[in-house]
Amino acid sequence: MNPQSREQANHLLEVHGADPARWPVPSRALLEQADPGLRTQQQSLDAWLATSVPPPAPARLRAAILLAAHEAAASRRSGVLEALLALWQDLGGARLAVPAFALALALGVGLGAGMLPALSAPSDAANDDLLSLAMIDDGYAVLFTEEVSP
Amino acid sequence: MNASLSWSQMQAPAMSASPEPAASAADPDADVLARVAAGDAHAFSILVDRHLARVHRLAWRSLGSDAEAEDVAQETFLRAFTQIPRWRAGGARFSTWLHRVALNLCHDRLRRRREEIAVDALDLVDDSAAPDRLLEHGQRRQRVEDALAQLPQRQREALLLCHFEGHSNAVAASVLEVSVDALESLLARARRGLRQRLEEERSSA
Repeated sequence: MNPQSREQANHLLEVHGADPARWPVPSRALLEQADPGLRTQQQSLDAWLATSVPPPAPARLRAAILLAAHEAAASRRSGVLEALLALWQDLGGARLAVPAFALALALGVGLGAGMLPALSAPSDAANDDLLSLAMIDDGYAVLFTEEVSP
Repeated sequence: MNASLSWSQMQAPAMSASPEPAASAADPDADVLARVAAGDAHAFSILVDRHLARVHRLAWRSLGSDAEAEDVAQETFLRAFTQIPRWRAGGARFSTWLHRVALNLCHDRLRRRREEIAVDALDLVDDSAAPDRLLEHGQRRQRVEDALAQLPQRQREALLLCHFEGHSNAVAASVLEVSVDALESLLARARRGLRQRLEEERSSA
């Protein structure tokens, strides 16, 4: 008997036990070369371990998993809306929106009020044009007098 | 998360990716995974039917508790469901990934348990206290569960995956993220420890 094979067989016995079905297929032939005492010990251990039988997974567990997955899928579908809402909340939600709107309104009113006189007052360029026309035509001279020197 | 992640890269944070040559062969679940990713609700139930019994057994043997095993099984599948749309072929097999997640969840629970209960207070079966209450088979079974529970965690997991779940060494090594040699060493030490327990029982009987 090859001592190396025996050593290898004993190693496999210690790793996989005495049931050849648990051994790697190419090594199964080595089982016969293992130490008989060690083989008996491993058989006893296998028999001992075989008494451990866990309960089957209950049917309600399967149902619970499928229900949880269904709920996860539903929440995934509404995920985009939730993301937008979360962004809104992160940005301050209504608490930020009210002052932001008030600020925008104030800016709009302020800018509008500031620009209104400039838009309504005749510009220097317009007065120059009127002066030029007044020098040519007396009708315009009357108009120029009313506009520029009331 | 990167859209092209494979299962080996989508593990719980405690796990790191590792090359898994033996486990990355064609995944028998690949077709079903693609259907789940496309929104086929029935396909997910196929995955549950294929893997639930094993995941539940693994959790039950790791934790020794019906309720906790059910919680772990449910959480494992829910994690899988949320990750499947990002799944890409080419990494570890789905079943390997699933068992890793289940074991990680068991680790978390065992860690919490250790923090909550002092080892001295563990309620192990006291044969002398009630020798007549248990049938012989039930008694032996309880002793096996106790002996398994007292093994170091990695040794116990190696034994659960190979001996009880019938995984090949390569797949079990992949789940535990160790080399095949290291796995064999864990298995041999686990069996040696159990054999010692068995002999102690015989001598005390």
